[in-house]
Amino acid sequence: MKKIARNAILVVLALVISYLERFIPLQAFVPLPGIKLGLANIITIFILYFYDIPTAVIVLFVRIFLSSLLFGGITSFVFSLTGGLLALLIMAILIKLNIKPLTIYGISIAGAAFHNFGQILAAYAILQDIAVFGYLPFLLISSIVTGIITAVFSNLVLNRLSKPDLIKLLK
Amino acid sequence: MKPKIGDFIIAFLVLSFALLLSYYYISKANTSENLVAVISQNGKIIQAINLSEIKAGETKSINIDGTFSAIITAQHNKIRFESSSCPDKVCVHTGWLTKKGQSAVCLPNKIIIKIQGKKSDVDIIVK
Repeated sequence: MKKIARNAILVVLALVISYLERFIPLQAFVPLPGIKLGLANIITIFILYFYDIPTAVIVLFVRIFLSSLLFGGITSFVFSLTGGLLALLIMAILIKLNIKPLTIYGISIAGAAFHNFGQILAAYAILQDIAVFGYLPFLLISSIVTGIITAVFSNLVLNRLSKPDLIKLLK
Repeated sequence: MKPKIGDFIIAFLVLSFALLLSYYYISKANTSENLVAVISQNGKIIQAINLSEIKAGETKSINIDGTFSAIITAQHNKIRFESSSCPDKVCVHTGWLTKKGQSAVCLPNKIIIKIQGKKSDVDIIVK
């Protein structure tokens, strides 16, 4: 499959997932501003497992750019990008290290935690107020839960696609 | 794929970091601000004590005369009505005041202790 077509499909999938996610009323259960499941991370995890890091970065960047253009704004762009890149970085490192007793669950939790950490860093850069880090513990605890949920879905996706013929086709 | 030991370690690391950070913020919030207790009688401020400047273990006592007599004791970051000769002793039962915004009132004596933050407009003892 042509790389550009493949990447376009991945971007669209991630975009649709992050759009649909907006309809899940998570804030009704967990009253934290800005909290979300981070289901678009499924695509990042999938790319890191099946393809390479550059592809993951490109797809992430284009997805966040389009998503901010369509639904968010410049602040959501900065927040999502710092969070997304940090999450991608830690997950890429953990996958490359190939730690045997570590599965997609731990990788997804680490990704979610670093995503929140990145967002707080962006908030600190914008607001210049150290108090924003006081919000981090709540986000970190929620990231354990959202990380597990994302891992469950990623696991489903990886299992469905882990068939030799399909892998050849997808490459 | 089932979760393995490494996944639990990562979850544990994230959780412990979150708890450490929140512990740090809670302890910082309790000590960073100077607590000033303002004691007033009949609507007039009779004394203002910076509770944060009192060393741990040290106790300051203040005797107040009025219709009834009252003894107020102040320690590091806390203050209370130690005893009062008033009949109902609501003020004594209020217990220690430790946080900004708390107050204890002795109505028969018309004494009010109120804890303010550092940004109090009271900064000197006037009697």
